[in-house]
Amino acid sequence: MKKSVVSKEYQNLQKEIAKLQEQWKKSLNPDVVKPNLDQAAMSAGVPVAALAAIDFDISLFLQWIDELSKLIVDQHQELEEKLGEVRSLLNEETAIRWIDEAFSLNSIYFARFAEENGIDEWIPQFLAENALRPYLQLTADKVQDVAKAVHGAGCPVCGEPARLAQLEGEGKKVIHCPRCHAHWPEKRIQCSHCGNDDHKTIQFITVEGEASSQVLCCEKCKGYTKVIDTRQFISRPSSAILDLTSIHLDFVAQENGYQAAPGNLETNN
Amino acid sequence: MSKQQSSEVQVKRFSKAFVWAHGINAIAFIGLYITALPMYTDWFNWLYVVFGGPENARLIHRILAVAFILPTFIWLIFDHKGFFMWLKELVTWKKRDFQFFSEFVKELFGFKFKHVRQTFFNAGEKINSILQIFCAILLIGSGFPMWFPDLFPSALVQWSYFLHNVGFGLGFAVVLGHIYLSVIHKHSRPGFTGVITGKVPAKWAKSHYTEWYEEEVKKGNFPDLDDPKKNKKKGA
Amino acid sequence: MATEYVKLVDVTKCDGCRACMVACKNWNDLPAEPQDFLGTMQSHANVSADTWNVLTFVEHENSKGGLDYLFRHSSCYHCVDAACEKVCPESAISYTDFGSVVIDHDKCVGCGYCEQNCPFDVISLKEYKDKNGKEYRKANKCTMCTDRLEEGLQPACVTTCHPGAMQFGEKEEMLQKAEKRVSEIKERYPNATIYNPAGVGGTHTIYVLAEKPSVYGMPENPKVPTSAVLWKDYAQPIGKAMVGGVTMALVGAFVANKFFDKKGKEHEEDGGDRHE
Ligand code: SF4
Ligand SMILES: [Zn+2]
Ligand SMILES: [Zn+2]
Repeated sequence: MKKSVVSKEYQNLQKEIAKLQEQWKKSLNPDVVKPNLDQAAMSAGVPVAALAAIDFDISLFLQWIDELSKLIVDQHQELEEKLGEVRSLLNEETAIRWIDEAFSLNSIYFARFAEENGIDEWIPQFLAENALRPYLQLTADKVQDVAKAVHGAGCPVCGEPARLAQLEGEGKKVIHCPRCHAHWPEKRIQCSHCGNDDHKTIQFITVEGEASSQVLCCEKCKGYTKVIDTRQFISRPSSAILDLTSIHLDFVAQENGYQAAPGNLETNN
Repeated sequence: MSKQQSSEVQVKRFSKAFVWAHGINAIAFIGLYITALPMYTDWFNWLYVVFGGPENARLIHRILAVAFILPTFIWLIFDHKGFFMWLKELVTWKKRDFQFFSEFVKELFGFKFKHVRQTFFNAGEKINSILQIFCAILLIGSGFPMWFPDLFPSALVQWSYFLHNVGFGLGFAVVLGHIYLSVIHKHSRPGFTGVITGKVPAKWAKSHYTEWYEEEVKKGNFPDLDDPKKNKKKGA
Repeated sequence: MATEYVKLVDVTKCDGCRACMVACKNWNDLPAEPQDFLGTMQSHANVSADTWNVLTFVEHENSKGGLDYLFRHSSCYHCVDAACEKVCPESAISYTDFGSVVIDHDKCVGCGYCEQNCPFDVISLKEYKDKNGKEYRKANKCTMCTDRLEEGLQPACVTTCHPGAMQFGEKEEMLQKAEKRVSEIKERYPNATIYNPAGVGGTHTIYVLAEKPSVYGMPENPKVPTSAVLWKDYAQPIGKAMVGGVTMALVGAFVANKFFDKKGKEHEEDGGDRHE
């Protein structure tokens, strides 16, 4: 979208990455993910992926990191050396650790890793997270129809805080997880964080000149969700790209004192 | 005979009606062109500013369009004899008219040439008149449907744009030639002052329009420049 | 370069609700134009400077002798070869990368040439008044919501069409959909056809029609007027060349005269024809 504050260049990089992830996901044997649909755990808000047995292929994971690095270097030659350094630090053991920490969104671990090895702070988690996502997305594909969202727990598949919804059909609101692409319906006027559906304590923020989006803000928990009418779009982007291109809505909501993951700050970064 | 002498003698060439008709026509024509130029090419878009916007340019163009049609009637009403003589000349073509052109080209580029005997209008002026009548019909005829598109079928309006454009290009070329020959080209310049004052030097008239001049002499209207007596008197 | 898009209107799915007309007025901030009752279900006779799309309505006796009620969303066709663009003397009408045809009001001088040359009669002048009360005119028509396309959004009319009679997407895809749809409805409507007239190079608003175009009041073979082609492709360039040519010839004559004048001074005695 024209209005986006994210540079075209970065959007393109993200689109390329999304394309790669789609390919990677397709190359996986669906059986590597064995979900354990524990109803009790699920209704307590434990993400399905946390309960599933996922058979990670470490050498494949490392190969994906190589492919990612190449994609980044294609756009930013100056990063070639840095990324090479990171790669040389990665052995099977660290790779396993990376998968674990990426899964639990442990940015403290990655920041320390970067500091200890003298590399840019964003690089380790960026690589790990993006190479992990195909597994999460595969899991979401498998359990999409059975996973049930619990207000306050974020994505029922990967645990990512809810922050993005799209309107479908006659105006049905569907929450989309930008991380694993899981999606689940919700009432049009309802907070996706605390479940509040009292229209008196829910308000919408709109941005001047933007006809297709609004931000649902809950006075009860101070949480927000971006609601985008992608029915009006000429072509629908993936949830990850949509989340990225609508990042200015996050800024607007946060400036107004709302949070994407209210009361759950340690996982929201 | 000395040059100075003969140029002192002036003879009447154009009627008042013609002078007025010609003048109004010329001014209207130039105004019409200037108000049309910004629509013809983008180079002249600055003219809109001069006129105070396209709406004003359009208004002026339409006022001038009426002014452009008027002269024909002025001439016809106040000097119908001159008007019909002109029409008659336009359709009269003799050998001398064709000879005129080869000499004319020489004259135009400054080569030596000789005068071919011409009547009131020379062959070049006749061509000019015919072309201008043609352009005027084209421009006026197409102008009406453009001005009042609601009164005409749309195909006619559409063709009018084409014809108006053709008239514009053709008219410009013809008028440019006409102005050049009368104002800038040195042999014809007395014709230019003549069309404003109505009078031209007798000597010039005689050499350029010999046939007409001699006829007027026969009628006793003009002095006979070849009359030795007269010449002597003048020269003394 | 952006993608070339097409708005595909499938009249067989239209239920005549006129939501598209409302959406257009809303998005484009166009004033309502109260109309006298026209004696049919149609609200406006034709599109106008303030009503960029109109739902037309015709009663048509079908081959079985029954009456069909035919609705059609009508607006600018966004011709590939647009007569309005061709005849505009100010280059105020242009094509966007999306394929839409748009008017630049800063350049428009209100001459109305476009209005007279559009083969579909869907562009018209609107009267405005400036703050001094001076009247001026500018051409107006459907923009295909180019301002929305620039933001990645579909035209307002398309997003609002509930029965899905309108679709918006890449040209090739829409053409394929149109073909598929026509073959689907051929049995029910033997005269079904795609309206994408070649005489204007094809259009960016393409129709799936149940009957012949003329039944809907659409021209069967619209084309850029021949007069417009002769005018803009021949008369204008030739005229400009001619004006330039005559100017050059006269400048040449002027220079030549000056030149021979000097050389010819000695011959002045026998050049008795010079009278100044
Ligand atoms: S339909 Fe008419 S107004 Fe629209 S692009 Fe074609 S010629 Fe221009
Ligand atoms: Zn998720
Ligand atoms: Zn809440």
